[in-house]
Parts: sequence; structure tokens; C-alpha cells
Amino acid sequence: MMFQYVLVILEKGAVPFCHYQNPHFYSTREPERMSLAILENVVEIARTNELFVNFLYGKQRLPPEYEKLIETVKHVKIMPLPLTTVYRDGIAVLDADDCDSLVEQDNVTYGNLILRVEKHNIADLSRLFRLLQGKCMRINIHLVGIEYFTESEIAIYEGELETISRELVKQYEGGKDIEVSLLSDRMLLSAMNNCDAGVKHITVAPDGKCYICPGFYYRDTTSDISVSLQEALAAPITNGRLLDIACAPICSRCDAYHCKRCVYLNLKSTGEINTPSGQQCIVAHIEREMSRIMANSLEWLEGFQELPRIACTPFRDPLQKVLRRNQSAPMATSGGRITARPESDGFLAKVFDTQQKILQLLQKNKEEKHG
Amino acid sequence: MVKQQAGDCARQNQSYCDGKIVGKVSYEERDEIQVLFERKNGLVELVRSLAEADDEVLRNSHFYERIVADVGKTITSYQQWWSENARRYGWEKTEGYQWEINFDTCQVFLRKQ
Repeated sequence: MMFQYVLVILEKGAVPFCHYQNPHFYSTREPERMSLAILENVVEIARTNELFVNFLYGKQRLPPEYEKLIETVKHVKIMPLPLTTVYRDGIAVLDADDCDSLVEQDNVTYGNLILRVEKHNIADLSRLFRLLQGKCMRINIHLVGIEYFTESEIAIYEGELETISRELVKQYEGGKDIEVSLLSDRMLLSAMNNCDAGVKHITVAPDGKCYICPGFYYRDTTSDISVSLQEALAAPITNGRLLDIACAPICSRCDAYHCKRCVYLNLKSTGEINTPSGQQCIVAHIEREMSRIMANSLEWLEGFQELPRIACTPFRDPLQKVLRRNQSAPMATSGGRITARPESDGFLAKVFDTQQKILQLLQKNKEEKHG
Repeated sequence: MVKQQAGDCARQNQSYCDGKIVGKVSYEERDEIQVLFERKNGLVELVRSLAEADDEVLRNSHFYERIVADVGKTITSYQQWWSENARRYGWEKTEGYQWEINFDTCQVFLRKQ
């Protein structure tokens, strides 16, 4: 497999930075770090194969020999926000729960900030956005526990996102340059830009074993791909083609290009690595719709006219698109007559029935004329 | 000895669980303890109601044994959940304090008894 980059979990309690959870991060226990020998091996392989490395840090500063080694390879550091006071080049990760205590009294600004938002933080999302405004150039928001979202929580999320989008429009109109991943990304994209775990990147756990992504490591430590990074680079992942969008029947028909298309969440919520849950799709389409409305209201502004147009869609879930296509597919028997019609296709059924009646009338008139 | 229990913390208001945060569990782990917590409460409530009503069910040895076995099994699983997760995640413990979980946030607190 030819990956573009590697994620390296430096310790078991490394910061969770995406949709997955890592309860070990909240432990007060001493860090269980990747051994220096494994790290040396991983860094060497990354250098040889020209792989970029994303290092995931825990809460504590690394020993000097680790720090020295990390600097020998092209990388980014992803770490809990408080640790960025030690590593100034680190990308800060912040739990929405800690936003008030960590950000409010902090005068530091962050270029790129990852904000993890859980179900119980959803109603607070627009307030958190206001809190972080001016403190960072880009806020990458990751929703945690999407699979638990109910209809009413999705509605709350939609409302919060609408509030943020209105404020974001004002910011853009005022010439400010701030990005909120959930809203800004889709406006700039004209093709899928997913996470592509297992396709573009692979994860090395503290024990040196490889996983599709950190979520797989923390979910089930027996689901490793191979024993080492070297082997993972040499041999294909078992059923790896299922990770490709071409093998995802719903996602391949979707244009929520900014969606992470998280294969970990897919497996967790539907049992299929290439099938997303309804919640994932609906949430992504809400974001897509908000981006569309934003793009429309900003099209008079210089710089926004060149952005790719986002089409208006009548559905919130791409599954409806798939089902609609299947329902409208012609169904014929060997006799050539349409014998079955989908119940939902009521309008076409009426047209069909009317046509039959007209044909019968015409036939009757013809018979009367000649008879 | 530290008592382990899931208090009635299933509220959005974090200040309700005003102890010190000592850890967090995954959603799946939260679901496990929530089911056990509700089952334990339900069984205890059932036994209490039957006893108060002096119900015949409790005098029937078959049902009595079934209820006792079910209560015992549930409480054992409940305690095991706390012991296993405390060991796995290294939760802090203090004499005279107990762990509590907030079912909304999955956070585990250490609170004075």
C-alpha cells in the first residue's frame, strides 16, 4: 500500500482528536509510551518511504530523546491544548467541556484548533464558536457520538449551525478570515475530501502494531492489520478495497464532499465499513445545506464568486437518492408489460392508469365506429 | 474502603456532580453501567414494594430464590464494572469518597460520601 502519511500514537493516553473516544486520555495514571526502539523504527521507515507523520501526544511532555527523534522527520504534532505552551508548533485539541476553563483566561491565539463536541455540548455550539472567535484562524469541529444523536438533537444541531453560519457570513462580509470546518470546507470543495483512513494513511499504536485509524485501536486491540509498519506498507489490508469510496454505494452518490466518511463510525454504527449510519449522512447534509445557503448569500462578495456552485437538493439523506433511483428503475416481465410499480411512485401510477383508460376509450370508440 | 456507585447524575448540569473528575468512559461502557444501574434500582424497588405489600410472591420459595439470585447477579456485575474500569483507567480513589458517573457526559467523579 502506498500511504501518504502515518499517524503515530505516542502513548496509550494520547489525545483523541477525531470522532473516536479514548478514555485512557482522562486517566491520571503514568503514561504508557511507545518504546523508543519502536519509535526509532517507525521514524526510520517514514523517512525511507517519504511518509509525513502526525504524532499524537498525551498530556505530558515527552522525554528529550523522543523530542530529538521526532524532529528528524517531516511531521505535525497533535496535542491537548495545555501542552501547546510547551510545543508552540503543536495543533491544539480541545474538548468542548474544557472550553470555558481553558480558553477564557487564555490570551494565546491558535492557528488551527480541533474542537471535539459531544452530544451534551450541542446546544452550546454557537456560544463556543463566539468564545473561540478571534483566538484561532480555523476551528476543526469533530462531533463525538454522532451514532447516539436523536432527531431532536439533530434539530438542535441544525439551529446552532445556522446561528454560526449567520455570524460567519458577517465575519466574511467584514473582511475577516476565519474558517469553521463544518461550514467553510464544503464551499471550497468540488470533489470528495474524506478522511481516507486505510487508503491515504495508516496508524501505528504504541505497541508498534498498525490499525486503520486510532478509533480501531481503541475500540478493539485485536483488530490490528499487521505486526509492523513495514509489513503494512508491503502487504494490502485485508478487504482494503472496501475502504475505497468506489466500494461505498451510498457515499459514492453523495456530494457532501467535506464529510469525513469515517469508516470507524461506519463499522461501529452499521456493522459495515463502507456503509454510513443515517445520523452521519443527515448531519453531513445539514452542514452541506448550511454551506450552500452561506455561499449564496456571499456570492456578491469578491473572492466568493469563483467558488464551486452547491446544488439545491430535495433530500437530507443520500440514501433517499439511492432509493429513489432504485424505485424509478423500470421493472418489466418477459411479456413486456409493467407488472409491478413501487407504491411510493403514486404519481406515475396515476398517469399510467389514466393512459390505460384513454387507450380503452379510444379502442371502444374505434370499435363503435366500425361496428 | 471506597464505595463504588453510580449516583443519580444523569443530568446535563455538570455542577450536579460537583466532585472531582477522575476519568471518563466510552459510550459503550456508559451504556453497560446505565443498564445495570437501572436494573439494580428496579429490582430493589420491586423487592421493597413486594415486602411492603406483604405479597405472596416473597413467600413463594421459587420466586423468592429467583429474585435473590437476580439481585445478587446484578449487584455483582455492577460492582465488577466499577472495579474493572477503575483498574483499566487508573481512577484515583480516596478513603470516605465514592465514584459517580454522569450518564450524559460519561465523566466519572470522586465525591465525598
